[in-house]
Amino acid sequence: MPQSFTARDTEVIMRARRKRRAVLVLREDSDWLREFHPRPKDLLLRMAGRGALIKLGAGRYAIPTLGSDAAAYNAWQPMLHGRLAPLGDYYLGFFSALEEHRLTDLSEPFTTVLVRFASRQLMSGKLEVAGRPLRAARTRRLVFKSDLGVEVVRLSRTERYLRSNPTRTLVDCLWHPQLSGATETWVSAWGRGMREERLDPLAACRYALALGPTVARRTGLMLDLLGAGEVARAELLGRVRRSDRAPLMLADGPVANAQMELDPFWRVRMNVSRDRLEGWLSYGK
Amino acid sequence: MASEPILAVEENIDEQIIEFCETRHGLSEEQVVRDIARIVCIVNLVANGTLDGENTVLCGGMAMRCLDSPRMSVFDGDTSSRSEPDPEVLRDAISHDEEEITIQAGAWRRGNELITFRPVEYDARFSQLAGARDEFSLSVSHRGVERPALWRALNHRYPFPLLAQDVEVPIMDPDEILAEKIVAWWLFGHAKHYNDIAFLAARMVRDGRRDNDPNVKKLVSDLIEIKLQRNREIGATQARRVDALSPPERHRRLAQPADHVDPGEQKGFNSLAYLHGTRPDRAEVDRLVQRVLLPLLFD
Repeated sequence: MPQSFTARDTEVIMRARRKRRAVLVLREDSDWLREFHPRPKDLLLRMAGRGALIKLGAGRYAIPTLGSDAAAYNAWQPMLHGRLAPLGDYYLGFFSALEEHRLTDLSEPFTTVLVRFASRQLMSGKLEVAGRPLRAARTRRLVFKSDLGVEVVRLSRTERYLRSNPTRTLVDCLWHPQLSGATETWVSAWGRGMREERLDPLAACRYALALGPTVARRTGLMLDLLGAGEVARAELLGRVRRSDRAPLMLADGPVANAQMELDPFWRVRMNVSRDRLEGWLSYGK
Repeated sequence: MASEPILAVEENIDEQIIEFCETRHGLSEEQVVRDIARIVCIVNLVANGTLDGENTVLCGGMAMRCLDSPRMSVFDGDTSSRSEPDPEVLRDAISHDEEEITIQAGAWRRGNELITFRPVEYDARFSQLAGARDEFSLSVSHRGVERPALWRALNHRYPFPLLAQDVEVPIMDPDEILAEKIVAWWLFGHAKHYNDIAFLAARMVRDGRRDNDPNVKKLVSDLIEIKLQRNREIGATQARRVDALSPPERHRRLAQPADHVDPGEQKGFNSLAYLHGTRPDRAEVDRLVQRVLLPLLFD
């Protein structure tokens, strides 16, 4: 969209910048916006119509870079933060985090997130932020904390967003593989993370336990395949109940059948062959 | 001191990039800006004699692009060298500065006969788009180059002006790339390898049915054995995987690629990025492997 600014638009944006606001929220900014227009909602809508603001939805408007003409000119992550943070816990994870951490050389035009809040619009897959469709998983678990690998990424003094760190991202792939790309993509990312020492096996065990015994078993198996089985056994074994039903290695893979190998130690049913996993893990360019 | 300018982009480069991306689903402005930075890096390596075609050649996705493959990688760049390079010399060679862009090689890491610079940071001053200040990675494998390099025009495939002059780059011989890709498919099983194999098979057919030439058959088979041996030497785990590749198993992995050739499609992940056109049809890819590659290797 071509961008045009009235003198008032420029004043609004300058004031927002002084207030260190990268995203204007109608509910929070109405008071000072009334100094410019008696109906702040109309003001922001008109500014968005001129390309002077980027409409994020739910009464939120991002400020684009002056002189530019589209959301593409701005980092989209702070807009994601502006859209999701007011609703509750969230973080950028899964495939999007694999991409940001350069654990894959692939890219997708959508954004993958974990959220704790209910949002029918978000879960329907119809929500977009800055032109990027959102794909989300929801959990009630309290797993959005920094000690469980969720980090604040600061892009500037005013712009930030939440993202899983490399180890948490990899463990999350075992939890919600449907958001993590092709199996070969995230399994290769585990191999790359280990080779480049960006995967912390101890932390992986801690994160996995917070996500439940199924993820812990899959994590134990992955660490075993990567030569970090000792750490996995020391950290996970006593805390993963042996009587649990044997989970599938790939939550989104083929359904269980009698012919599938059962890993005798981690009691994970191999609905992907061990050889294939080893191949993907060992890919080192 | 600034180097000789490599880039010659027009004033409205951002608009050109945006317009280009609008017609290519899944390709972002950020990826294109990064790709341009990688192209400048490669041209600079040719200009300063690092990518000389004698000792070092371009391989991987960028070499495939010079062979007109539509597939593109979005972050990693690959080169291959006959001998182990000095990382500090390489660091200086990668770094480049001109009015429109600065490229600075950062930390490097040693892998299995591999040196990877990550990050290679750049500041693309020609652009205001997202990704104008970002990074990519560059790897130099020193597992050997067996065949003379092929010098090809650097085919960036963008419809707008990019470089100050036309440049030729030395790429790994396509038969050697094919051998590397086949071995990689057997050992690691990534969809990109299988797709690249099919692309190179189609190229052989177009190139006067070279796949029927007994000399080409022998050449590719010999190169495959060399590449397998190189992988065997990397370590015990890799040696075990190579030794498990009996001739019937090699045949099986090509003839029955199973469901992981389109690994993410059912989940809505494209998995491979294409600069031009769409992902090749799976049936066509299978047909090329079965009708060209299998006779080439096993008849």
